[in-house]
Amino acid sequence: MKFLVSADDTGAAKEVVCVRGTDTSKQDGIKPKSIINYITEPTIGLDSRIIHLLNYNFQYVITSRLDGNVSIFTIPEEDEEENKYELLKNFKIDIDEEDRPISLQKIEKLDSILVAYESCKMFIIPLIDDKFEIEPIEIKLPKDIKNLHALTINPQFENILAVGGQEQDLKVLKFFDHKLNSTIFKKKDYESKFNVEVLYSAKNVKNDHLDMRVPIWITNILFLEGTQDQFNIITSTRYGQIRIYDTKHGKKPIKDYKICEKPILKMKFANEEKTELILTNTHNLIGKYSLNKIDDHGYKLHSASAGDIYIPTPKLLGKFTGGNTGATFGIQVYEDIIAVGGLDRYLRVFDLESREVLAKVYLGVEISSLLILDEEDIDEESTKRKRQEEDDEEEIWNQLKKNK
Amino acid sequence: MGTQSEALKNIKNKIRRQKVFSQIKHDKNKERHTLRKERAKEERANPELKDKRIVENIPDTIDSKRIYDETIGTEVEGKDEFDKYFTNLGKDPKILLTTNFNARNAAYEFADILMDFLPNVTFVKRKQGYQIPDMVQFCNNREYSTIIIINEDKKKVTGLTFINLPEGPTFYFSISSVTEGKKIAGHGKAQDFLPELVLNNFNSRLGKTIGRLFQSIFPHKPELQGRQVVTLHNQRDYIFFRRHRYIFRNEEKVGLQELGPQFTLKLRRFQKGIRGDIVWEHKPDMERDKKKFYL
Repeated sequence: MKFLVSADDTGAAKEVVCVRGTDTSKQDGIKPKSIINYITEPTIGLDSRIIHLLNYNFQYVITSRLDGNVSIFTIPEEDEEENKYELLKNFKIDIDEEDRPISLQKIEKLDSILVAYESCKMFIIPLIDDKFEIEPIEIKLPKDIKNLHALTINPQFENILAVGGQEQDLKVLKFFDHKLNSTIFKKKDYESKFNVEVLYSAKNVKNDHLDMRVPIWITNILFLEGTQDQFNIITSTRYGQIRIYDTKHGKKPIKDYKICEKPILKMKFANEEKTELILTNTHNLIGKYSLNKIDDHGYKLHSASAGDIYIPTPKLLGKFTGGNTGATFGIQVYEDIIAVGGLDRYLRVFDLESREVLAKVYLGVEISSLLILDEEDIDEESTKRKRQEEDDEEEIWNQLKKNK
Repeated sequence: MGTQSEALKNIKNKIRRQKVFSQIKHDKNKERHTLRKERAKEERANPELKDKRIVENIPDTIDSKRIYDETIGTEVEGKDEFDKYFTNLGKDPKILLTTNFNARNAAYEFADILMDFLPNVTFVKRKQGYQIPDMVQFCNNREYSTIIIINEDKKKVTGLTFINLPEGPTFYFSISSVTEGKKIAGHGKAQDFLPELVLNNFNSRLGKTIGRLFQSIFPHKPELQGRQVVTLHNQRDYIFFRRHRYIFRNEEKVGLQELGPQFTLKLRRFQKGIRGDIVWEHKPDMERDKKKFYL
């Protein structure tokens, strides 16, 4: 297995190569094959650490740093030894000191990436040919949008995105026409093609049993399957809630679940059918939740005036532990494994179904983002290949026999 | 031994059984003592034997049987939030000391004890309505480097919060076994010198961060003429605070006089930023494995 993990303390990124069963916490356990620092350009340090890593179709690794640098690196071939993760291009985006990147996503339709910041600055960077000559295109969001903490592009229709943040309820925006594709960057007036149009803005949930306003702080947004003009969206909040919106079904969420008391940090789909979620919070929770099985009495509140109040929660299918003590920021699900990393300086790899620890590697640096570059063990791959070759040989012999 | 205990079980009379058992114990003890006596005699005649025995016979302790921790002995990579203290050697720390609000007398007495050895410290009485973020903002405007908050509950000091400024991290320690200097037999009177600092056994990656926290509280240059030392000794995740005055009596002998106070800290929570995301939190089930230590 091969991973690229951001190293917060140093500002670089580490490439980790290990096999299933690796455990550095055991003295006689299997050690990782290699842990090497890469991506030390253009700047390095705690103040310019990597916040987001993006794997652009196994073609480029793209990093978004705290100080506004967005850089494009090559992904090395399997046996390549030299010039690994070579810097191809760096864009310095002018942001304030207190600003933070909130999102780094790809728009495959336009062969571009989108990078967004907390101050609602949003840029499209086209990755046309190998020269990357086009400067980042700033897209102005409507003025009433502020304090963003989450921004997600709809993977089905890439001209649609959803935003949300602190006291900023969910909004669905269209930022270019769906007919456009990457050829627009060959024309001169491409900047005028990006116009933001608000398609849907959500409304806060009802006041609680004490008639108090429920605060808003969206941390993650995910798109469920939808159509061109109807979207199903899941949001997570810093108040431990998960909400499901149907844009054809009113402005309020159709489902409002309470998961935990602690803020939810990251939310990812656990399977391709999008029926299971992986959630992490600011404590050591990494849990798998089902969106189909709902526990009606999952969360209990007691009120002196209203009595016991039961809030439904998605059923907890299991927790990923492996001795995790801190908040988890880096998380990726790939095929049947999940890799997580956070403040306790370990990279852990779990099996998605059984939740067994497949690998546990101490890295010595805090992790804010990670990528799974290769899910198969190197040894496994070679044995597989061998087996296949043997099969092929047998087939040839069989055919020869038949021909006789 | 097995057969002996089996034989003991077969004695049906309880009083006789107890008698036989105590006789067996007594005999064993006697045997041990005679062996020791003989060994001591031999070793008196030949002191090399004793040295050899001491070298060879190392008793197992919980500390020595500690579960393998890969973070011990690895190099610390990169920088952390304490880096400002270690790079800017011209600037000494400035501490704000306060309590929880509505604190009882115990908290103020403990604050008095702390102010005895904390350098460049200001005590501010906690007023209602000021939360930690407000205090942090107040302190950042006045170039403080650390906030220490004493936690008192039911007339006992129960905890200490350390906040490194300007941007964290935050540590919460529980506190126990507080003894003030006066109660220590043979104690000396502390003087107003900047102490030297001894940090013991902060070995793991988490321990190193805790070590850096305590380092960042004290100024870079101790006043050596005071001959005062503050020791923070970590053993099995308990951090023991002691303060001594030393004197070099001759080239071999050093005299120590305890100045007090004494207290014990235990890390309960370590958070990024100002009480932000958890990095490490003590959980009761961490105590289940007696040989697993985190600092």
